[in-house]
Amino acid sequence: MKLLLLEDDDATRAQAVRQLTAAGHVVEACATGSDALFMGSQSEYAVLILDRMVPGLDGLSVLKALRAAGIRTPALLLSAMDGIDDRVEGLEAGADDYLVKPFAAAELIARIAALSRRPPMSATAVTAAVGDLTIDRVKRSVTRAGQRITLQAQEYKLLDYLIQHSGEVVTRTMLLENVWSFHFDPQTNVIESHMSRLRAKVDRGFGKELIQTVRGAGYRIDG
Amino acid sequence: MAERMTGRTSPLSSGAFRFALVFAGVFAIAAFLLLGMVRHQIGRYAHEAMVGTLRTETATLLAEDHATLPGEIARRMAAAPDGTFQYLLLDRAGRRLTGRIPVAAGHAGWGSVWMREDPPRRAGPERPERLVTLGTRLPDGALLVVATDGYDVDTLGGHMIRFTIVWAVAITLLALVGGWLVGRVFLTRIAAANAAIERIMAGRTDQRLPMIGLAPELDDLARNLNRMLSRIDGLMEGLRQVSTDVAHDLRTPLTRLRQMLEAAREAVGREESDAGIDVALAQTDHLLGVFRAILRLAQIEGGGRRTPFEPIDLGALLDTLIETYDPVAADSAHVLTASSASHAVVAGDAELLAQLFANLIENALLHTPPGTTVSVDVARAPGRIVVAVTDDGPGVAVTERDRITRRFYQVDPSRSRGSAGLGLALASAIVTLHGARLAIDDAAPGLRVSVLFEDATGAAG
Repeated sequence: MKLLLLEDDDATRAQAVRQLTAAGHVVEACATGSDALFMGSQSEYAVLILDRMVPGLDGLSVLKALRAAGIRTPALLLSAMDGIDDRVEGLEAGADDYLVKPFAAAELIARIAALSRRPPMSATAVTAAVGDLTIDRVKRSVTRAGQRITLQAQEYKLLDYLIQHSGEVVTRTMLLENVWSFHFDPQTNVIESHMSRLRAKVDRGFGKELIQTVRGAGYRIDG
Repeated sequence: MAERMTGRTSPLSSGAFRFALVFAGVFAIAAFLLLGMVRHQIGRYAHEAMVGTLRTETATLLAEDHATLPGEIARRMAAAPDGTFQYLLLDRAGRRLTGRIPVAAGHAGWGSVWMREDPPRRAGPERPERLVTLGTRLPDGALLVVATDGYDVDTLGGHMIRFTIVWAVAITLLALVGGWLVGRVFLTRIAAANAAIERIMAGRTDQRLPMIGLAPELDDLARNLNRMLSRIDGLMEGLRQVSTDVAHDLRTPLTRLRQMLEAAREAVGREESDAGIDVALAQTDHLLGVFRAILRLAQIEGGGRRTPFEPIDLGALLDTLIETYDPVAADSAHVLTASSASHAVVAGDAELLAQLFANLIENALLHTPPGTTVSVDVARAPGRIVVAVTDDGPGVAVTERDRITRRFYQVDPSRSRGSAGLGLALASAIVTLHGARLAIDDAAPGLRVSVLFEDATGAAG
């Protein structure tokens, strides 16, 4: 995928370009807001990655200008500020996701993958399937190999989110933010506890395990 | 500090003095107007009284027999040569029969005449006196003229003007002296406040302004300024705290991280070095977590938020949290129970409140042994909503209780499981931001941490 990266710190930019390139992306990087505005309005990108705080025209202003010009490319804001207000401000400016620095490479790659498919077909469809697992979003029912599976509300939400991003890695932070609306790090194993229960219901006794743990990154559901 | 506004200003240029001056001026004008009116009214009354006495005196004389009239007049003049009245009686031909009034004033109806005082009423130069005359034609053609002087009315007028001037001057002087005194008192009080401000600017940020006194609105001003100072002081303290926290409490884990990385470099074999790097990465994540917590704590304590509070249903919020932590509790062999009251709505920030209660529940789960029951209860009392997280574990000693909300304080560091000891400090900050109170009590056995909100919705109906 072709990505635009705005980042003023040379070392961080070089590192991010290396990591994203290794993940199979084509990255066009720039260090100033005006460059990002020019590039963003001149060519097509799959995802815009904008550092919020750069000298001169900042990422937030670039994003606002691009949105005002009618460019709807999914955008990820990078920021060192993680106050609630900061995040809300970023999302209101037209960002599709907000990632607080510093972050792991896996986190950035997972979020870009999630953004580039937005809106995911599977998120809007009434039913979606991964392998022999199907989810009916109207009836809120889950079946595997024709067998009905009863899930708790949060287990259902967790599974639904995994299925929306089937084939992709979802990170712990993504799960906390999107399934539990937690914008802080819990001290206990919230995700692991729910995940083990979900796996017990969805994966145990059906042969193939659909939910994979991706070491150092997160989870992935695959058919 | 080029210019200092201290209490060395003269009372004469103080605001109070200027006000007094303006008031004195307005008062003097009003006094002049009032006295002028009074003088005019009294003058008119005196004139009418004079006219009345002239008529009465004339009528009395006319009632006399025609033959005895000259004698009566002479008798009256003799009885009071210095009296109120002067007389003139002319016969039909206009000849004077008796009386002292000049014959020129001999006509019927109202008139006036100037005549010398005789004998002079007082020492000094003799001066002519203006008399008001009333002439009446008698049936036989004779003319009776009675006169009296306008002296009393004029004297009264003069007195009143002198009185007015003296009082206007006195009032103005009093106002000026009063204004000067009030101004001086005022400046003394303000000087005390200015001195306090000087001290604060010099770095004594714990100093507060004294009450100015004199007027409740000035005290309100002083109180509000003091509240502002406290707020600024709090923010400054927060900043200082953050730097201290970062300096002291990140040094140890950073040192540990450095040691891990050194160990990883010296590791033999790929596997050992990878393991070392993984540990170092985990340590880095922990460090970043602590750092984030410090920043968040500073942000919440600073209270600088742009998004307004919204009504939050605590019952619904806690139900979701119980669902979230139920599996966690089960995994650590804890029992999590909940009870909630309906319509427990408070104004707040959903994200922060979720963090607050998640924090309290996690604390209870992390710091009690397996088998402990943790209950989360929402209760409504008149005017307040109380959320209590209670466990029946070993509890916390009384001496430790007020310390556990402090930053980086850990009752038992060996059991902290990597938490930095910021959890309850963060919870406490969120509670304060919401205008609520955090109470830590003995649940006998165990510990109860309660958050007491004011129930604004309940009070409104």
